[in-house]
Amino acid sequence: MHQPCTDKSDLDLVKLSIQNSDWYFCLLKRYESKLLRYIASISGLRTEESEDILQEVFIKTYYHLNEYDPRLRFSSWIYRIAHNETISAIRKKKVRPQIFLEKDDFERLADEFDLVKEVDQKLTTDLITKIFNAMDLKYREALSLRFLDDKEYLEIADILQKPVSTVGNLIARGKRIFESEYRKFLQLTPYDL
Amino acid sequence: MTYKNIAQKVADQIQHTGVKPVSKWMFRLKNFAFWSLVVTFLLVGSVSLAIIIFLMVTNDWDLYSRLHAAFIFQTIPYFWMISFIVFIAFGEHYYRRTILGHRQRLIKIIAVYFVVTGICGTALFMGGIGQKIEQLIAQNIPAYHLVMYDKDSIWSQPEKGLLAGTINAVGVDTFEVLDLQNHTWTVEKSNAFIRSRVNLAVGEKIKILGRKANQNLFIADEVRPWEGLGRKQMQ
Repeated sequence: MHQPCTDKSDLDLVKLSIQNSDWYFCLLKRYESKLLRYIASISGLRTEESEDILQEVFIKTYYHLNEYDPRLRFSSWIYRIAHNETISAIRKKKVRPQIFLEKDDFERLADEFDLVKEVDQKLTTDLITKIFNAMDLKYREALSLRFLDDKEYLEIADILQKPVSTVGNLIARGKRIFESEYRKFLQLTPYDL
Repeated sequence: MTYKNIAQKVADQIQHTGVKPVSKWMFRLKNFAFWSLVVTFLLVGSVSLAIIIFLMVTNDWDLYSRLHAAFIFQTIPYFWMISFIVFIAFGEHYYRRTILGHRQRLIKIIAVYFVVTGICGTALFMGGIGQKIEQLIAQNIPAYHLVMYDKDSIWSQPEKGLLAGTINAVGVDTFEVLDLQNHTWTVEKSNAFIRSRVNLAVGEKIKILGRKANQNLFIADEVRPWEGLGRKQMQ
């Protein structure tokens, strides 16, 4: 990194970046992997395409640094920009977004949803992916932000630009749909999956 | 390109192109524009409500006994009611687009809008602003009459005891009225209740309840101002 970034808050870095663009590199590094993973998880686009979206997100964020309002967390604000850019890219490509879960994601979801881990892990990972991909984007994104990105309800509300109560409903309903589908799939033989 | 290079690539792009963040004044202006729209829609909604109250209060509800249910459906100010709802919807939409507007529930925003427009609309009605604006629109926008009920036709039914027009001459027991179809009537007023706001003078526009005696004579039971407060005023 160009400057010592770690002791600076996001807000400090925003203020410094407005004065000197070198500081912006700290913010870029801080959010690079998180946002790439988030974009990939809700879009299901190939890595190169997700990287293109991320690049757009970072440029757009830089242009709009003066618009950042500290009443929102910076992370919520930049995730919101990433959300909007990703949704826009998905619409342009007219594809149904697919989610790709990594091993860490599977572990977290298995814990959260209390899934039966003794079943073959590969099979269960495929099953979770399949159920997630069948779900509506709004539920999938809410669950992804809550359980894969560990976001609080208020942060998710700020990212998705919905009331907190709506976010609560999306997560609760998303969980119910997921659990119900999971139970249905468990009654099938592995050859059906 | 792998993700490890994205930060560097963006940083290099910013360095080489020399781009700067957009001025904070642009965003302040944008924010101001959104809040202005929120307040404007709230005010216009309040004016709509003030006009609705004015039209409802000054409506001649007692004509119901002569004209029945059709009268009520004819005289409800649909145009202003729709406009009131539309402006609340616009206000809600633009409030949501403010920085923290999304955090509030739709029902809460609409409830607040109803309360605020209710207070402002009532205040505007009490201050006579609703009446002034409605009359201003009625006088200057011809198309307005297409979306509002036709008060002229309701009061041009002498056979049903409804007459309106402008006073031409005033005598002891009678006065002359040029009705809305340019027909001159002699109006017998000796037993009529004349409302306090009526100024029986040449040039005054009035409404008369009574009965048609012949082609030119109308016996008045009650005389009201053209823009009056109907039954309420009588009380």
